[in-house]
Amino acid sequence: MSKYAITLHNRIEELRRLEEFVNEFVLEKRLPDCNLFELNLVLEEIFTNIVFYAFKDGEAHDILITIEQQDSALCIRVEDDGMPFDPTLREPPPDIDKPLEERDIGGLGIHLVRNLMQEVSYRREGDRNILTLIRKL
Amino acid sequence: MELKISTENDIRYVEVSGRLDAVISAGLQDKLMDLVQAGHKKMLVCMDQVEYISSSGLRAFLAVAKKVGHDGFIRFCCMQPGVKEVFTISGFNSIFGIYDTKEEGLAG
Repeated sequence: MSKYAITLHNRIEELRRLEEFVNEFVLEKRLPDCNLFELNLVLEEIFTNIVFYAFKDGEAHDILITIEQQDSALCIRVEDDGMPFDPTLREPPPDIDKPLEERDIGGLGIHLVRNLMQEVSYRREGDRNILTLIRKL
Repeated sequence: MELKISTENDIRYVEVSGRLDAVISAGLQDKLMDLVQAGHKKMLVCMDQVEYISSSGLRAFLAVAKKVGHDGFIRFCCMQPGVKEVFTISGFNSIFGIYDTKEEGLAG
């Protein structure tokens, strides 16, 4: 099977299950360790962003993550039914050249995602956010 | 996540181990803030046993560094390559002293 999927609830504790899912995928596909780090990082950043900011109703929601290996690339898809949020529009990137006192605490996660992935694209389908990421191997 | 804290000259040498992800980093920040509150504002953080960090870990360190201000410093040593890359992409290598060895980190 080339497609791996997991459904997570919008609770931060689910990060453990996400980590196990990524570890299993990387092991199964025999990918190098650097992919393990990067995949964990990118998915954590996107997942935590959704958990912290996408829902205001206090209800339980599902976040669907799939990873698929296509030839020499990994295609990652993250889907949620939270408020519309397009991370590709977040401008400008964090003030990475500013001194410590002026550094802002936010925006770093998305900055990391955009730097580690070759492609990040967003679309809204009905009431769902669909984020697609490509990582070349 | 575990912290082992010792004193070298007047610098707190903090050995961190574990994953610095969104669940764990809050605890790290609290413990480092406790040190700062207790007046220990010079810190060398050994990252040798940290195999993973996300933006949550970076935010924790940044918050502690802001608290320390100009009265002290927070430096890092012995970073694993993946963790170092995250620091570099985020521009944290230009605001923090990052050293290869403990000795260099203590010397500053």
